[in-house]
Amino acid sequence: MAAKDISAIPEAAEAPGFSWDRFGERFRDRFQDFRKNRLALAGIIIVISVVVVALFAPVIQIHDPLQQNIANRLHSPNWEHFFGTDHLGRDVWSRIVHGSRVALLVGLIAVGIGVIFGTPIGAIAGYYRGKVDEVIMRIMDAGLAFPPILMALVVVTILGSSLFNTMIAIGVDYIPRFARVIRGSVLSEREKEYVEAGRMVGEANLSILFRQILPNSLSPLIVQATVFIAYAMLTEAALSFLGLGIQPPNPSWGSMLNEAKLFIESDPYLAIIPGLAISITVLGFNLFGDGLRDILDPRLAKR
Amino acid sequence: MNILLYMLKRITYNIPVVLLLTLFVFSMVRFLPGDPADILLSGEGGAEDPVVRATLMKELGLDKPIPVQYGIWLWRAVHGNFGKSVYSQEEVFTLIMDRFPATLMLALSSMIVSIMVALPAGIISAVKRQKPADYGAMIFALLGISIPEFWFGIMLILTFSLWFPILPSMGFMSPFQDFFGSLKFLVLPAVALGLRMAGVVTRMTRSSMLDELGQDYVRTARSKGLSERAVIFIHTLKNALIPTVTIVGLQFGTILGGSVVIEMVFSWPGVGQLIINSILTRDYLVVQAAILLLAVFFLFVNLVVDFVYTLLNPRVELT
Repeated sequence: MAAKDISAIPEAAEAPGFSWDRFGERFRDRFQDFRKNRLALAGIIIVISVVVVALFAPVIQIHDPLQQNIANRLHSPNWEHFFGTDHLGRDVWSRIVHGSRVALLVGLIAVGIGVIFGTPIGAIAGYYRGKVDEVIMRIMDAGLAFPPILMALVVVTILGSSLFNTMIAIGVDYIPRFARVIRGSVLSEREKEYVEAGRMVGEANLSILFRQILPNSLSPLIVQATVFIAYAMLTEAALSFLGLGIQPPNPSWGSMLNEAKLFIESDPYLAIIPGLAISITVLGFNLFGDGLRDILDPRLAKR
Repeated sequence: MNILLYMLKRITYNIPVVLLLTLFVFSMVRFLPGDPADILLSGEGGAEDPVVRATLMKELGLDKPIPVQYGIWLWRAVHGNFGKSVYSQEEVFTLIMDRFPATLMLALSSMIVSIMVALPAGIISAVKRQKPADYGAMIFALLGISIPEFWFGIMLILTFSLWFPILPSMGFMSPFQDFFGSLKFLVLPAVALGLRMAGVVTRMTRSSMLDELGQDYVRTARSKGLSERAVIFIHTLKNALIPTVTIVGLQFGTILGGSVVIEMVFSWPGVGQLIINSILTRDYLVVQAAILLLAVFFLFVNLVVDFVYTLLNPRVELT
């Protein structure tokens, strides 16, 4: 192949596919809109509060979340126990506070697993297209054919129930979902001029893909990841509620609900409080995700 | 391209996907801790006897290489033979099929409930954009996608079975036995299960309505003096519903997954409850078959939705 005259495409060759400066600039511009978006702001406040509670759980707790005190069981909310005590006399407030750690950890790690494995799979499928794409996406479609919780149930059945396995179970379910998102955005991104420019100057395929295209395809991924953190929290709660997720005596909002089932008639607060904790946290992440979408994806921006 | 050809193509596309599903579910039992033979033979009588065991192993092909074992398993599965349950000694396939109608009834009712709420909410929200009705609908939708359905179910039980005892908190009655009686049992689980989908569909309907309302043909319809009602219901809605149909199909998976948890909350005798109880009793052959059947059913529903979509939308390119 004859050497390409690079000077013929000076702008395209010089223009970097991606720059963090530009990303930051775009982010700052849109952040102004974000501040005006009250719902998104509420979302950020909820998310930050939950993170703070999780980080400082040992400080915020009033009692040891695992400390049993049978003599003091099933006390309604009062000044010593804001949220009352459960059937083993444990302080519900402290258990809720520590439950935020489980929820966040599962949300972040599960989504992390989905992103780390799903991104390269989807990127390769979208970039190479053709047979590679076909084979990869059929396998991903088989994964997507499992209704959401069922895939996690399969993994938990194989590995057994624990905090660690819950994160893996939910994460595995997310791999095909993230692969699909990334594939879509790489497919549209690869047709752009800067990619062509990269090819002309002889950049290797993998380098173009991972250094140029991927960083430009991140917006949908970030939005999706936020929403999936919320979804992972719901799934963890469901698994723990079924007794297949976080195991007692560790406090998880879902397992607290599971334990509360037996006392629902006499002590409804035991069932109401953990559910509110889950709902508010998930709502926060959903609002935050909606706000991020407005910032990062102007085409879908709020109407 | 001819629509029949297109459908055929969609069906053939799904064949490898189903095969992969079976491979995945088949491998599941191989990954379980312990000897797979113990798990596979657990439902058969007399498997402790070494002679019987050897015969059974031969019959199931467990002495052969794994790919052959898969072939034998698949052949039996296609004929509805998934082995016997350890727990109840019943045929796994019969066990699942006995419970499938209950799950289907619950899933369909919650879809109907959620669509009945979500379509009007989404339409009103788009038409009354930025008005109180819009905010109300959007907050409802956000709560729908944020509240865990099983907790919502527990709250419904608390409210309508304990505080105001008007509906049963658990149980099931066949609609063929007593139609109105069965509805009483159905209401709470169906509402609880439909919540999330109602939220998703409301958001989808709103955004696709807004898309359509901004189109030129809507402006034309308005400028030729059509009433707003006619513009919305005759012109816009038909097009706006197309993306909604897709989302309804995809949400069916969420409904099936959610039914697993909701069936446990309301002691609803469906496939979901069977799966959880079988996991807890280590009845793995039941888990394996039930999950496979639910996944295949979900694929089938999506295929149907796909066809409905092409029929609704003449613009879609049949490739």
